[in-house]
Amino acid sequence: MGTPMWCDEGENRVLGILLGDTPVDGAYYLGLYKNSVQPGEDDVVADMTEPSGYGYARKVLTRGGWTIAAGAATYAEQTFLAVGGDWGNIYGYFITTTLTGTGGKLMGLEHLGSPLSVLNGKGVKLTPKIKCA
Amino acid sequence: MAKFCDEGENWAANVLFKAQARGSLYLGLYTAPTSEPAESAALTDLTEPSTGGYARVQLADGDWTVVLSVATHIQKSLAASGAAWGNVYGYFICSVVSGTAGILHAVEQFTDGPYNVPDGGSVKVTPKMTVS
Repeated sequence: MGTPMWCDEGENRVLGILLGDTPVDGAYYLGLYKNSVQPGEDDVVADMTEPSGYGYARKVLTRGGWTIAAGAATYAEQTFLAVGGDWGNIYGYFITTTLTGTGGKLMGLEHLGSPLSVLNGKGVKLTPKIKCA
Repeated sequence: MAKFCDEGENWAANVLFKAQARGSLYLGLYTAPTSEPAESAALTDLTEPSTGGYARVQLADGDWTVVLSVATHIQKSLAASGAAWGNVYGYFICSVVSGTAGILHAVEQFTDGPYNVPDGGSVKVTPKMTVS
């Protein structure tokens, strides 16, 4: 695995929620990306190339469903499954504020150490973990 | 720049990812310790001025500006009245208006301090915080 990182949009949103008047997010959404080059901290959701079709959809990470320990938040393992066709190489995952589209904020991402080739009928299992330390 | 304390990091995670309410934020000053408090510090580790009209002040939500991953609050002034406070070494942000039963979110030692605050003197603080 690579090193998870907060993105600029995510940092600003966290500060807005914790200190300012930005409403807390009711859920975050987990997605996969196919960008072979590690995205930058200043990237946005529009910079992410996701799998298209064949059963791909972001996963909902509900507020309250996380486990907090020692400044880290962990969510239950999520499984993405390719159905009806190949997704190709998956290079990482990201967390955003919307279920679909590119209008949300890119909170953070992790670029995998090596890509995962996802063929029809195969899947990707991820255990989202975010450190607040 | 104030640094998040362990209690503050845990609070942040619970607010963002669990159902914990954020609560109000208060700014206080400390006269001890004389060196920067550790990240593991709690409110019970800090000594505040005990005379001269000292009181923590609330930080309003709308008074923060977030730019380039840095949150900056408008300047707050805390003034000594009736007695001197002595040397003030830094400021902190916590969850309670008084007492030590709350959460210590963050601390910052004054890099050009301490400030010796006489009766009638004041300390002006512009709280800043970041995540990265």
